[in-house]
Amino acid sequence: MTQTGTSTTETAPNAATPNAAAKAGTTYKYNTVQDLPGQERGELFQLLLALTDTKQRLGFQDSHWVTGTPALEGAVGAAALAQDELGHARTLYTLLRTFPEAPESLSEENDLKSTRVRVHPAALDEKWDTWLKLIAMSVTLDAALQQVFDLLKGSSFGPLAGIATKIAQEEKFHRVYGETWLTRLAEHDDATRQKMQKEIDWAYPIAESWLGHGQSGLVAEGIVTGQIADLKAPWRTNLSKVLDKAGLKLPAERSDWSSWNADKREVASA
Amino acid sequence: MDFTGITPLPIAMPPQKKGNGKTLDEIAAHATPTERRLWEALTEVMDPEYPISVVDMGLIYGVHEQGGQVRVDLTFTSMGCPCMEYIISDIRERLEAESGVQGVKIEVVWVPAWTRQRLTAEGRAQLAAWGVGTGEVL
Repeated sequence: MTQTGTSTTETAPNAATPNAAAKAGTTYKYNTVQDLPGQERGELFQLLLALTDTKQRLGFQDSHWVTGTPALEGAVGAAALAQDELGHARTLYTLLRTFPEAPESLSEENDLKSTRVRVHPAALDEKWDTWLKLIAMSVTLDAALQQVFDLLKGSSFGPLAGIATKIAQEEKFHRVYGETWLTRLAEHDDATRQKMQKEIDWAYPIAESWLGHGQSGLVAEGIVTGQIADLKAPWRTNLSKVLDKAGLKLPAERSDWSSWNADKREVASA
Repeated sequence: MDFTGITPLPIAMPPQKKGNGKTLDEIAAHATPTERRLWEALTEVMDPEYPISVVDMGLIYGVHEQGGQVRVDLTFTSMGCPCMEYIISDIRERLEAESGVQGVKIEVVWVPAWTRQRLTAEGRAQLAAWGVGTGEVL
């Protein structure tokens, strides 16, 4: 963010200026949005928009459970998750607004009330009917996004590397929340475990689809330090361990990616 | 600083963690006299959530002044901080009250990410006096 002098021009508090977001003493291939090659810049914008819209919706979904969990501890945790996700979205939107590709509807004043079609999985649109969906999403989709940010920490685009480093730091606590509650709920009784399995089966394909399919040109430029689609294998391995510990089953891998929507990072419904 | 009229009880500080608890002299070691004055002004800007300054909280990563133009590198403890606007506004207002300051530019930085290691010695002492843990293992 840059706020200059005594002018009356106010910008969002976290409108990080490119150089300011970069790690001190680190040289980046791309220090500003303007430095990015055009084709890669467009692809990065689309990826970050999906990532940011997804985080914003996760924040809204988390916020619904601040007063709706069976335990006060779960509610406090949901509040913290919501605050984090919305904070991450706030910072990422600020970066996105510096892209020439940013539509007017993405402006700070217009975004929340705009009719802009968000680019995130449709499953994030409707209010979830049970808190168990939050837990299932935490160990699947949130965990997948954490791995994406780990890839972005080493980005050759300085502003993104700085933001991703901070987000990755904060996401560690999300993992504790999701995995702890998953185990606790699965061990509660057979009925709860079956319900938890049902929500894992619901969340799994959403998260797997977010990681997606195909190869990105962003990797060659070091803007993303690895193929996001290649995260599926380690993500699935980690998830398997978490589910095993809770006595839950790992859903089957997707094999058909013919209907994958790269913009929304989901597989379109038949 | 006493916000409530209640004087905190003096307590023994926990052992200092390696790399933790710098003093303002150490933080501003390379500052010009003007920049040093600006650092000291910022010690009067309080964190809205804790009774310590933004300097003692370790939120200020740099203060640079040239020809009356001031740039402050500022971080926040978390991206979900609800007090960003307050803090930015307070910093600007305080620095603009300093003589010779013609403009204030505030840049938010996220790297290195804030941790409790960023608390100054004074900040650690104040938080400890108010019963807020600072992460040391006793």
